Amino acid sequence: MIRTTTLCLALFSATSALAQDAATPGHGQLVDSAVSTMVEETTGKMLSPEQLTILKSIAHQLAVTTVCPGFAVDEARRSEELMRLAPTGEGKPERTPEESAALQAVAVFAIGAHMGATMAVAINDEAAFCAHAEEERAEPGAHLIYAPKS
Amino acid sequence: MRLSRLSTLTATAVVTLSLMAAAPQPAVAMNKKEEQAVGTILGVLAAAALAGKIKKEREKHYLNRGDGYVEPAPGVICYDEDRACYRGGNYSPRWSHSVYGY
Repeated sequence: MIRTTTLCLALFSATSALAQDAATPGHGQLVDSAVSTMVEETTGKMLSPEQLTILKSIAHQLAVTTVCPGFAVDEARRSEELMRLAPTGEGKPERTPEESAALQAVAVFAIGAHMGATMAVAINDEAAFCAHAEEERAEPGAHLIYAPKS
Repeated sequence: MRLSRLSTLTATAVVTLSLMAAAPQPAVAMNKKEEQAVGTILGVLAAAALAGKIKKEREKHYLNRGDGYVEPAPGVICYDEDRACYRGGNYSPRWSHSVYGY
């Protein structure tokens, strides 16, 4: 318990110091970019640039559905996006169960890291964060996993 | 409040996952005080590493802003190296897909 609290305090002491630069344009972008670099370095060459981008997109949207009222995940769309991580079928590489398990493990790590960082950034300006998400959802486009606005 | 609690939990998960990925398991059992000391050190190291990365990103994007970015629409900026687009400072899955194709 104390250890967990200590870890939280350590992380927040870092983010608090960074929050002093909140007036700097793109603070959230810098955090996001730093986490992307960390995920890329931690997962080595296990994930392609395409896979990293798909995971980051999914994680961002999952954070939105957690932070912003009125947002939900469309399960079918989420499944489609996850399938894009490891396409199967003719012409696609066969994966052993071990390779599939390893891919799943790094995917969970990447989504967790991005989702946590996104939520930590969102807390700085929740209204703006959710307004941006609303803009994204309202525009036609592919590869979003949001359920339609009800 | 809900967001605060969730952010705290998620931030904890991020640090824990990072540490799980990076730190080897201890070879010997530690008592509670030793565990707390190790936890503190690892927590500070993780926070410092993240702060260092953010500083590097700031330099990359704001001090050495080169040709590796595009602005496909007003208020939207996309960085080729990160394959990521931002609108109003927020990551944009829609624009990232639109510009980089996946």
